[in-house]
Amino acid sequence: MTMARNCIVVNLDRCTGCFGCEVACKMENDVALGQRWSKVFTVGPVGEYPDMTRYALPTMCQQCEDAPCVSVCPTGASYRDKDNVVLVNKEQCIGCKYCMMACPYGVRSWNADEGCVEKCTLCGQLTSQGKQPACVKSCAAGARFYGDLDDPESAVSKELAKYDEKDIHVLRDAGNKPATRYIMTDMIGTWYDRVEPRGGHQTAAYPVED
Amino acid sequence: MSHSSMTRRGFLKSTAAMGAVAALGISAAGSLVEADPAHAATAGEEKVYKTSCRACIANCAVLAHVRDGRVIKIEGNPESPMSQGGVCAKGLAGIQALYHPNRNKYPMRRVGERGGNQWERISWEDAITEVATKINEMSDKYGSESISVSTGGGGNPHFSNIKRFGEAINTPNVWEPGCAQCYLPRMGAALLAYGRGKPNNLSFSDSNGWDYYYTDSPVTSLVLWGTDPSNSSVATGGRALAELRARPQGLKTVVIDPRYTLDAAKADVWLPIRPGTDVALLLTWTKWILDNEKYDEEFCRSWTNMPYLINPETRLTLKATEAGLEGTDADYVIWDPAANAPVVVQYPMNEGVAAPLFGTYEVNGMQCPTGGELLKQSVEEWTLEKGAEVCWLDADQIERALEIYTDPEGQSGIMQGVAIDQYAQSQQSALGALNLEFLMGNVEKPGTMLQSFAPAPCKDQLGNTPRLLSKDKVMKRAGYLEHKGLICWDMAFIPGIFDMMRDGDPYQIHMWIERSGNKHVVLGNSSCLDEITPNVDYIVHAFMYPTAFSVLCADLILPTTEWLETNLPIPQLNTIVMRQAVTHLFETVEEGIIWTNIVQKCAELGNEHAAKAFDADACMTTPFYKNEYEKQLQHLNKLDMTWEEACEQGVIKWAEEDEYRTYGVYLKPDPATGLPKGFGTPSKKLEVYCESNIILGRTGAPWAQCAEEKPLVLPPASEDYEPLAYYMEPAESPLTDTEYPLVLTEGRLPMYHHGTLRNIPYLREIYPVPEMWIHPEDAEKYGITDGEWVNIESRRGKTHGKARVTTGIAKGVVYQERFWAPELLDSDDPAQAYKVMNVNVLTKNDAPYNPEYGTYTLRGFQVKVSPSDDEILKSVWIEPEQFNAWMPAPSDPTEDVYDYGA
Amino acid sequence: MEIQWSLVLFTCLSGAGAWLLACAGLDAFRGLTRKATAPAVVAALVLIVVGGLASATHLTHVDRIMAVLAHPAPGIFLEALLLGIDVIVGVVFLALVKREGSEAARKALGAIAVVMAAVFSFSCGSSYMMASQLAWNTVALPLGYLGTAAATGTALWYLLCAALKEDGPALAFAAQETLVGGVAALVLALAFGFASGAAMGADALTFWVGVVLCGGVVPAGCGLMGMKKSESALQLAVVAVVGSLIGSVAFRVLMWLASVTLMNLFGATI
Repeated sequence: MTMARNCIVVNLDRCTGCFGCEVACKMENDVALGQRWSKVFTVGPVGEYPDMTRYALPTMCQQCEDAPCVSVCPTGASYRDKDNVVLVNKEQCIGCKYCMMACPYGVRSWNADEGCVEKCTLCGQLTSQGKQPACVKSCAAGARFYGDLDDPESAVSKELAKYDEKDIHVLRDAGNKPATRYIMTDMIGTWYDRVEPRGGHQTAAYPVED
Repeated sequence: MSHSSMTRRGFLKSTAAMGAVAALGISAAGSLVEADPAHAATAGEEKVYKTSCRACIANCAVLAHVRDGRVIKIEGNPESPMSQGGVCAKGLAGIQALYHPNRNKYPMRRVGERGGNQWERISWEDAITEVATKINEMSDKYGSESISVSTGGGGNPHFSNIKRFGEAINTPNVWEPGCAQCYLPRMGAALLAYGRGKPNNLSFSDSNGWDYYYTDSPVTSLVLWGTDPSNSSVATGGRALAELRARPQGLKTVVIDPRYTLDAAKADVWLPIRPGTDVALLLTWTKWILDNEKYDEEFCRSWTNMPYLINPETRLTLKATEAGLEGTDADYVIWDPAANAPVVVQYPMNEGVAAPLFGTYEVNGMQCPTGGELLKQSVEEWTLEKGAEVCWLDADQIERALEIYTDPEGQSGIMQGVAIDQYAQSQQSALGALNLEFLMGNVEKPGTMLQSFAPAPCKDQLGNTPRLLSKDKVMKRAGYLEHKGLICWDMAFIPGIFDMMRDGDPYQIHMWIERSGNKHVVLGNSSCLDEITPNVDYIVHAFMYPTAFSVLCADLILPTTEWLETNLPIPQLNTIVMRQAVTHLFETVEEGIIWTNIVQKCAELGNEHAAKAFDADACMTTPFYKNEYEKQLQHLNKLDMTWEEACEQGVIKWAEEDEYRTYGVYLKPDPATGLPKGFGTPSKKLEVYCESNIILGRTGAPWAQCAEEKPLVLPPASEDYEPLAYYMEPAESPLTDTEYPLVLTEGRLPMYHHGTLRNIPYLREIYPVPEMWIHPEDAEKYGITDGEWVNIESRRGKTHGKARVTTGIAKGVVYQERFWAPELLDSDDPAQAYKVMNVNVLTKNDAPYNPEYGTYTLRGFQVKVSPSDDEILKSVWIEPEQFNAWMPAPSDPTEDVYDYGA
Repeated sequence: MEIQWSLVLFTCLSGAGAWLLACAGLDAFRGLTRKATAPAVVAALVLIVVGGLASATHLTHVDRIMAVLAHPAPGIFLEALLLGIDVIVGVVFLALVKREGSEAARKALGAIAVVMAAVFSFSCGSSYMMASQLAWNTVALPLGYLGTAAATGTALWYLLCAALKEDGPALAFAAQETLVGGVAALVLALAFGFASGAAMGADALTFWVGVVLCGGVVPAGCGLMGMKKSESALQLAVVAVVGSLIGSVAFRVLMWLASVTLMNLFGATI
């Protein structure tokens, strides 16, 4: 097993919040209505005029290094493949949903037809052919990147290299070490590492005060 | 007409059974066609076609993967210099649009009462014959002006098609709900004041601002005035801004928008302006720039008409003959301070004369101010404080924005969005913004918004045929004399059309041929259609899906094509992006082919005027094509390749980047005179003092023409059109309205375009119902809870939205975008499909109108809000699973798309 | 999160069964009862097995359940393993009781049963300790599982003893066990209530009435009273069983209701 850290990196300075990645993902992976492997929020607005923050936050499996979904899975259906990508073997899933509870970000979805858990696969069917994941390929703002954080020549490493450490963020780490990086500079405002969807089918999310 | 002649003209053979009665709407799928499951098989070879999306006006280049005739995947095509491989949610969902189970599949004739939603399938031949026969009958009985034709911007339209169609059947009463309310004011103002503008104007979302698609553009800041490229041109304009911001030097932005859009959130300054007050802010900016001497004085002297003296009696530029100087009545006059006397302008500018931009000078017994002086006087009262007060802004923030815009070290530009086109001050907003750019010298320089780059050899729009209409006929166009700005697009004044339909004032419109997504969703005060359409004898609706208009109003439905079924070359910077039909479903037909076939049928049935449409001499321009092949040739225009060759290339680079990016075109020598070409205005100068606007109102120049005359000199409008922007408080104003205390604004969403796509499952599940944004203080005041349904009421009607309580909207303002509920079409009360959550039942289509274009009020009027528990809201689909009914269905395959005619 | 009734029933029943078995096992040391042991072990086995079956009803692919055994890990595997061991302990113990096996063997099994009850009921709760679940990620959660299971198991033992009309000392000791179980439930559930915030949250009523009062105070009180007067043992035992069952169910229900996720971005309900 290689110890690659393949993941999606999103440049929020670029992201326009168009939801194209959501639809690209659903078209490519035939994800049922009501389920998502990729979901965009707009965080905020927070703050007082004129110092306000609002930004689009595309979310998906964060490809954690210490992935709790893998460690809690009773059957090994949640696993890492040879490229170290966290995946679900739907043939082995018994539907206990422990991985959904254990995922720190709640980015696993339930396929009711097949009675098993699903999630972002980084479009392995495409990347294995040297193509980009659907959400990356179609990103209207050129804001999404795919590759191995440990490979300095990868698209993700090159994009991250353009920015200061202070502009590179991860979602709140509960010890799981998410791989996905978010680039966001002070052009936008304050980064919030823990957000909560507004509820219902809305696209908004708000930062959670701890 | 024989069956074979139908085929020759590009229609499909009709083989399936006719006559079954069916309802349109959510139950339509099963009742119309048996699915062919074999067609959904994916056994064959996959072919990738380069084509172009038309889910909105951005026309992004895409790759369509097709297997066994079925489109299975859409991706971005990285060859496009504008979208660079990006596609937004709308384009990606194109497959769901194409294979929507409720596609209009065949021509359908109404059975029973209007609104009863009962239809029978008929053949194309019968449909075309019926429409042509009605056109000829109406023309003979009432005059062809009694037929009104309309289109709209959503749903794969083609504007010049329908204009040509109207002119071919000899009606002046062609219109669309955009036009005066979308884009025409910005384009028209640029044509008048800049002399270019088709398309070189300030609308970024209409694919202008070409320099900004290159990251080496020296632009350092941009003002986004009532525009949100992230929403309105996602993968082109939105992408371009993302690239510019991501440069090491970045991009400063100022966003003027009541809504805290994602563009506003990235801006250096956000000015949450009160809707309807843009001109007040423009005047404030103008005064600040003049007072602080931030304008480019040399440019203004040489290339604007600011130093030109104005004749106080005519209000036009003073001419040599009026000044008692040697010269003609085409010679302009400036003041020579050295000689203390007026002198005739020696184009481009008199050497050694430091003509003042400001001041009033006595010439020939008249007190003649300069154009610049009149500008200065027009903004006199508009201090920062006054602007801030009227626009509900912070004066310091306005000044910060101005400092960014006028930074002497940088290069800025203004992008102006549709917001300013949507109320009575449309022309004033457009002229005011152009003047800022003129004052700053932001014209045709590297990094400016206004550019005159080299034109593409192809044509996406073929142009109108206004000279097919006689003077007598064109004078009957609704609003023709009063709102002469509409002549720019040869379109009619919508409230005038409605007066005719409803009251026969000044004459009755008996027939209406309409092509667009849903007139009930996009027209101002759209429920007025309820009392209008019963008075129209025969109504045809052409579209891809049934809408509220089809069910409530139509007598005949014609099925049109999705963008994956159509052909068109589209200029994008130094390339042409080809749209090609990659598949074809059922008996859908591209609208242009429908129109030409109706016109041909009219002619065949004895309509002499219709025959002229195919005669180049009668049209005095390119005549109407007869089939798809001729259409393609006309669109290819000077592009020297066959349609097939062009499609094979997909994205055709017709010029190198440096050949395309031609700066300072006005400075290039005119071969005839050796002098700089200047601009396309009569003076070849930028008209800061826009006398062309006055002249338009008095005569119809430069646009009025007819079969007999070009130019056609028209009698004046009731009042002069003003040459300079002026502020007028909205007719319904929060300053005085106590009953309806909140101002409403609309604004674009990235997953929808106009009234379209509310039937697309993957899009509706993202945004199932419209959000009504309201500030927390207002929400508390009116008892509104976040996430709950709200009643929104105006003096025109009532509708609903779901509250989003947010500081992302200015206090005192509420925001909601157009919406409708296709799921309610096949219900007991199909009118609810358009009424339940559609802000356009609230908007205003009565006076005051914009003088130039007759623009009515879609934004900046008054509403009130309250919590709602209306029963009807339970019928609106919100749960994602409900949209399963609209997931792609197996389709009836049709092998031959068109007989191309060659 | 939605209440997962399958899992509520599983840990409630199997936990009670394990603790009932433990009480029977403990009696191997004291020898106070005459008739209760065998029925108690049978009842305990039934509870453990029924609970185990209940847990499988929330799975969509029970057919793939054997994959669990092939993948040793904490969580379901451990719970299944412990459950299996406890069943074996119960069966062997029952055989020893029926065939009047050696006292040493019975004591050994009895001791194992007590340890197993603690380990099993704790481990059922510890499966839910996850960094993603902020309200659950406290050792007070498995301790609460342990405590409420102990209260139910001891009360059931008390009820069996009373129903089978055991002698006064047996009843008094069973009451004492019930008191200990109730106090364990009370203290450990309170610990969870405060550690998770459930004691002050939206479901505080469920916590204070259902868990604390019914599940802790009631069985403890019944136990206390039963220690002094054995004549109303049956009534007290019934009340203790009902209270502790309500408390055990309420505690588990509360766990689902009081869930606070680090983030639940897709809003998928479990």
